[in-house]
Amino acid sequence: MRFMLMIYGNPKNWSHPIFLEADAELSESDRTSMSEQLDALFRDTRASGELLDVFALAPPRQAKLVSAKSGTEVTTDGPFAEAKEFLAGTFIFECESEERAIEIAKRFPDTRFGTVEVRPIMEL
Amino acid sequence: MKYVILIYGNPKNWQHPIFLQYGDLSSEEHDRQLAAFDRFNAELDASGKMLTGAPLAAPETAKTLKERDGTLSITDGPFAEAKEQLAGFMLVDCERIEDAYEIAKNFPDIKYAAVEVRPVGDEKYQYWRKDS
Repeated sequence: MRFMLMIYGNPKNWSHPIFLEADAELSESDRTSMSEQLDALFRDTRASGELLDVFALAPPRQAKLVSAKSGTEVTTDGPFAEAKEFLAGTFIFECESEERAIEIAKRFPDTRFGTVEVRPIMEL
Repeated sequence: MKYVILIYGNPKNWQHPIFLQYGDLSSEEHDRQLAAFDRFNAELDASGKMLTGAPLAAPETAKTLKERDGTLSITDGPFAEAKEQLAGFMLVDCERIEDAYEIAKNFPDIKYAAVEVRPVGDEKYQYWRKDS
């Protein structure tokens, strides 16, 4: 099964990995250990073949919306969701089970500052 | 440049293509829209602009993880408490954002909710794909 892991965050500065930009005073050792935690996760899941795709999104203010709800097509400044935290990036994993996908999600330092959502991908 | 096209929706039934789940379509209209969408997908495939994409399962199948004050919580449902939810995405490679709009416009979902277009960067952590 494929799962999409969505990272939500609201950092001081928008750059990736976004947890290093969290609105929190992080010590240098905290930063190093979290970066290593993410690198280890990438290494492990690339070696296991589970990690399929990664992409980090640009800041929400760069988003544009295409909509034709009123019958006329319009392109406006986005993002779509008006929220305190925004979609910052996504990861796609091939996992044996939802439990395994959640196990992977727990290893993202982003759970400390933002939110990680795990959702199955539909096979059509 | 790489752009992510995020498709949002709030259909009666969660199925893909999600725009076919809105309202009461006659079977002729259903077939017509599906054929148009298939044509668009075939053209996009042939253009080489589409890198990847995936339709997401229903929001109620999502789990959301957060750690606060040292305690991890795992709750049912998606992160965003919104009427319209992320339904799927597509990653495209285009010269200009306007080219990404041209692709985004082909999603009938723009009539029911909206399609968001956002750039992806090229630095470390910003884009990686197995076997590429």
